[in-house]
Amino acid sequence: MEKKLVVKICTGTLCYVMGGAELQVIDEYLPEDLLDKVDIKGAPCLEHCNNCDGPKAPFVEVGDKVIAEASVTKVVDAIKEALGGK
Amino acid sequence: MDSNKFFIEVDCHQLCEKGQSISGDVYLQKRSGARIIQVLSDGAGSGIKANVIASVISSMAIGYTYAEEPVLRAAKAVVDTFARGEHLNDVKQATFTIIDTDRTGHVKIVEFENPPRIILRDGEILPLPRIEHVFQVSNGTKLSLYITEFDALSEDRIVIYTDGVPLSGYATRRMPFGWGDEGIRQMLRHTVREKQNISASELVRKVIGQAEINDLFAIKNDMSCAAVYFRQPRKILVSSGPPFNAEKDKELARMIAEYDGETIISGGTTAQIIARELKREISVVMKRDPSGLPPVSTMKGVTLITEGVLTLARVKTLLDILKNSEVKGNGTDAVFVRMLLSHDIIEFVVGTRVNSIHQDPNLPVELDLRRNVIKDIAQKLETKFMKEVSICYL
Repeated sequence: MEKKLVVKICTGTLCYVMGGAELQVIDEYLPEDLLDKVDIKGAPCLEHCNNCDGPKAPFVEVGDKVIAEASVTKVVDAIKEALGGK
Repeated sequence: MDSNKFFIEVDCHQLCEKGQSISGDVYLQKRSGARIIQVLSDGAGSGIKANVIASVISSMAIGYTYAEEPVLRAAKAVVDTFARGEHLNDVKQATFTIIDTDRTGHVKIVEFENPPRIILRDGEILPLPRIEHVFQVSNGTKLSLYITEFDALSEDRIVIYTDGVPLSGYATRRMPFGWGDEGIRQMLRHTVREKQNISASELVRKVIGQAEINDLFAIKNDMSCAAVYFRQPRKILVSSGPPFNAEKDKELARMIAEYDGETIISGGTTAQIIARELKREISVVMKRDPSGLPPVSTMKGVTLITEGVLTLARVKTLLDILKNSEVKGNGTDAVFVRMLLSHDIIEFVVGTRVNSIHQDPNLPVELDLRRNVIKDIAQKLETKFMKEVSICYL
């Protein structure tokens, strides 16, 4: 069975407040041909926000890649890139 | 756990006579330590005058009871306050029933001119005798007081009401002589057998609801029903916030795993810590919540997992605006509050590690410090909803 790409969306306080609420329903924005190649999960906290000077919320992990200041567009692009060629 | 220590749930529901702006029935409650004193008084007539009389009578009754004044002397003073003239109706300006109870389950009921109290045990009416005591008021009239004393067992209930309840339905075709005490007893027996753990709150609402139907929704007499329910306390633990010191993570996880009651974890980081320590999987329920709050998660052995400060702030707001224990809605905040209000003892375990990022002034919303929000929630649960609350900091 083909292994699905795991996409983790942080649903913690900071990420939610900074735009994570929209990302929660990202499956509504994915093109159909990608939907069954992706496993979208939530995480109560991805622990990327602890660095005051570092990258900013909201955070999404697409496979091994961490996306900061995630938006629907950025995440969909990252998914396409990760699945590109498959 | 001390097996003699009950949780005592009390509630009263009232409706006033159609056309009146205020009920002539007054219900008062006084709590002091493990003691709860309740008084239900029915003022003569209806409207404001009756309410004033009943208010004075019931505050006097509660005051004397609290001060442990000898009952007959207190009754005389109370009845004398409004007694005028020689006619019996002029003397009996208000009724009262006093229920004096504490956490050991010892009960004393003092009744003056109200319909008789009902004691329910194991789905049946307990045929406890009440002792008549005669006392004399200033103008020489002799009156009777009825006193019952007993020790309650777990799941016992006491129900009292004013005469508007047995009189309901009077002169209707269905019940020309009114619902009557026997009709009420039958309904209570049936209700507690059908739903054995029915709360005092739901029970009194059912009684008054039926009385209102009996009167065809045009209430003819002020009606009140109060109940006492002795049971083992229902406990819930709410964990929010990572422990200040990571060394305490294990302790927090152990508290959750070993807790004798339901548990709520409020906070993503907190939930992750507990999941890691207990080696349990945590999964987020990815769907929009009607409240607009971040989604909930599930983990084996934990009743509810929510996000932290945003949810707690909403819980606090909801507790502020609620008028009674009825919570409507299916959002996470409503579910959380419903869970809190359906338990008697609420124990908060607050991790004091602060996520400094939450205090960034550039954030689009203001996030209060978790421990302050929880202190407010605890205070509301204690004072408005009579819950037993404790907060421990880790």
